[in-house]
Amino acid sequence: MNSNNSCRGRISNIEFLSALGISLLALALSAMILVVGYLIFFPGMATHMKPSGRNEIEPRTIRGDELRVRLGTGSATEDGAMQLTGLYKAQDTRVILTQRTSFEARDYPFVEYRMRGRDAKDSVYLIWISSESPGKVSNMPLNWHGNNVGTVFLGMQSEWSGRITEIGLDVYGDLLDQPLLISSLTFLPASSKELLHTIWLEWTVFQGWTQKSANFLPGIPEHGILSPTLAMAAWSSLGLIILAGISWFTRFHNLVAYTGAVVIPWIVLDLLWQAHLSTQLEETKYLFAGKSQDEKHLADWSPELYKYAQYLKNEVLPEPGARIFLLHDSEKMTYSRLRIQYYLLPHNIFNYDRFPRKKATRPGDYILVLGTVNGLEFSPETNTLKWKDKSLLVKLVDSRSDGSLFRVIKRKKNRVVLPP
Amino acid sequence: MIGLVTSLLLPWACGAVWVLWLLRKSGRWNCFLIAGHGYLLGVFLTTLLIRAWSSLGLLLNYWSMAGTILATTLIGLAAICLQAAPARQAPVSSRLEKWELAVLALFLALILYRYTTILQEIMLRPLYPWDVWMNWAPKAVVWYHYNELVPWVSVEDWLRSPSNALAYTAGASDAWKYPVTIPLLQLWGMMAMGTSDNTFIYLPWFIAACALGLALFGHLRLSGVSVVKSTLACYLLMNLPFINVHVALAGYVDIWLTAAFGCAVFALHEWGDCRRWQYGLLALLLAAMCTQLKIPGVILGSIVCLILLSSILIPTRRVWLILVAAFLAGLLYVVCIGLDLSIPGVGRLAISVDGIVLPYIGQYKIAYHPVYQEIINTTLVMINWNLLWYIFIVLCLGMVVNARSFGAASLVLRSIFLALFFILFVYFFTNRYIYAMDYTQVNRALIYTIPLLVFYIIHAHSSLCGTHQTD
Repeated sequence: MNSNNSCRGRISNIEFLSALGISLLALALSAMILVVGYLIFFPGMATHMKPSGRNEIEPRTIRGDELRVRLGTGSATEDGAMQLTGLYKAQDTRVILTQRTSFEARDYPFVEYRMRGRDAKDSVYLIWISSESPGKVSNMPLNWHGNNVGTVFLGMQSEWSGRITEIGLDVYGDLLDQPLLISSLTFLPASSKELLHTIWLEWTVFQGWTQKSANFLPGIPEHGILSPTLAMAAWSSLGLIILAGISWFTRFHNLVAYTGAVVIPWIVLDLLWQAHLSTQLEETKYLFAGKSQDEKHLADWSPELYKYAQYLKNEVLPEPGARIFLLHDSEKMTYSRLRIQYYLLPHNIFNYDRFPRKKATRPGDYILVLGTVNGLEFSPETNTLKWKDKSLLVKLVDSRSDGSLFRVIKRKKNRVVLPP
Repeated sequence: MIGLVTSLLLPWACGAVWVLWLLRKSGRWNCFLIAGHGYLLGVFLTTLLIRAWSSLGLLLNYWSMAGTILATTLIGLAAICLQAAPARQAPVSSRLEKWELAVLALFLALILYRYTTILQEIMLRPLYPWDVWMNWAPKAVVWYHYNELVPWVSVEDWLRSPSNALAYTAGASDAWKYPVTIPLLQLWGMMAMGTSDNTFIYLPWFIAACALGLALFGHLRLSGVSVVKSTLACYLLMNLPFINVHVALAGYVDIWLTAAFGCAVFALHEWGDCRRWQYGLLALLLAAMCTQLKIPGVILGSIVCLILLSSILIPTRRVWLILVAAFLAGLLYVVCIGLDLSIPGVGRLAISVDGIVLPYIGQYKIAYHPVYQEIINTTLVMINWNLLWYIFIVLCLGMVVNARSFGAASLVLRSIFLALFFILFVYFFTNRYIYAMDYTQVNRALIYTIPLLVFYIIHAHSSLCGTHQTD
């Protein structure tokens, strides 16, 4: 196997296979050393490997029907699950379920959750109260894995400490397509197998596109244990060092082997990313395949904004050309106000304020108030739009829960006067 | 359907024909780089045509403009037929070993799988990215509706304008002045499809990534890099997660600026290697495209020009000393006194220790912001760039001990360092550091350097290996 300087010319099939074999061997050694080293030195496990008292810690399981519904509605099923049937609607739509309990957090660094009928859009959090901060409800997101079971590591959460006195779930979602069933929560003691399993679940968890995706891709969920990029870099680096060692002892110098020790971890990371893209595509197909453009918008985020914009364009507003001041109860450029501006195109929209810019408005302009704006009132008796100490003579063109459309008749002095 | 096909293929054919006409005289070209550069320049030419059409006061009509592009393509073909060009230098290529074929097939399969996934994503999902429906697409939708390039003005001008004036203002306060190339490209797709709301309008984003891959492959082959390594380079670049996101969630300008800047630097490399003026001109054309894509493109285009200039005017040691002394004196002047110029027709240029005002680009306060943790996270911890930055950093360290890899692709290396200097300066020393802290912009700036990094890494690898196949 004289491959000294084999990189300087073309290499044969046998030489390539030898180089690939050496590369795989180095990577296998590297993986073994890294996994063992990681399990020994991983700081998050050290505390939990020393249980609070007893020698053997048994897993603790809370069945779904043992959880009490605090907000929203749910009903127990025959197989011991809790089916969520109604959401509590306030600022958010949610269901909260909890159970009083008593166990030492350090004994149980993992929680395995079993749920059925969960959609990627549903956000589910594990919530708990501990004896160390009795007035505070702590939380940890439970990732969606596309199947019914998932595990998260709580050992690195500073709030997961002391005696846990109450535990439960906080669920956000619409529950429209299918009912969400909570089967069980199982708290697991520290183990190497569970740690590696949880890391793998985090690497393969489906996160879906967000508006941040075009800015950065974290690769693991928030509070994740180990970045796959770091792991692959360490795997590759140690593989290269081992290869260098092999080369030093055997005088086997083959750049293909070194290249393999970099490209193979690269491909593994790439396949993790491909798995994410493929799951995303399944979700995209589920939402949009076989639909017209109109139906796609209705299946997309904010269908209510799309419907309202279509209603305004098709039934209320004149042909594009008139100026429209879009008002919304937010100082910032929020999603809803910008999104409806896009849906209303090609109408000519000024989309910056909470209140009308009186000096800039002209008769014939429109004012679209999205939702309601605190401090902005319409007086139907006087056909006046009032805010602070200002007012504008307008005609109410359309009003719905989504918003109100006014047409400016004329500007008025700051003092409110009745129209003739 | 015919509108869609022609909107995608006509600019490509036109660009490819004229790039071929340009490069044929050099005797150094291949079909991959013709296809890669051709698509980018064809799209650029199409947007210039729309602008010219509008400035002539003509109503925008897709088929009239498509006919013009077809005629331009035919003229280009005729020019090629009449052109006396030297024979093309064929790259040395011998029969591939079985392992090479297997590796080649693996990389191609990985690319194909990725881009089949992405293509479906583009075709199925309605316009998704926030900045696109806030800043870029609205212009195209309005122009499509009116069949003319209706002006977009600042917030103040919009408020001052009379009720009957046809002028629009964008959702973001500065978006009205963004370069129009991307909205014109969207408009082109809308006119071809006969609607302003269709996912197929964003297929050019898919082709742009493919064109970048083709150009990379073509240039590496032209430099004598083997087929396997050139394909590996395409795989490394085209399958990067952050590149994929900007194709799958199509609509952002960044993939276009990445492709234009990357191809410009590839052309610069060829110019540096073989001194064929055609490649210098190609680099300049692509630099011009950079300036018309996004405001930072002005800086990137300037970097291309600067590197080209530095390769023409090779200074002696004495001239270098004078240049360094002049630079230091200028720096001292700026630090002690400051520079404040009002350039007629251009704007204000001011440089001092407190801040920089650049005409057209903006105003920035100068102060150090320690964003290194975010830069490390985004390059080495997150999944954005796979292991690319690790490899680049190791190679940079290797450069110190191995002069050969330092020398490889030196114009590319100069471009990388200048572009990185610009990007890191912006995030470490200006008030834009907040966009590194929240990760909203930093990757969309680093992406411009990525094709260059891949090109350099493969070159350095070949240089270390000594396997450049000379023509």
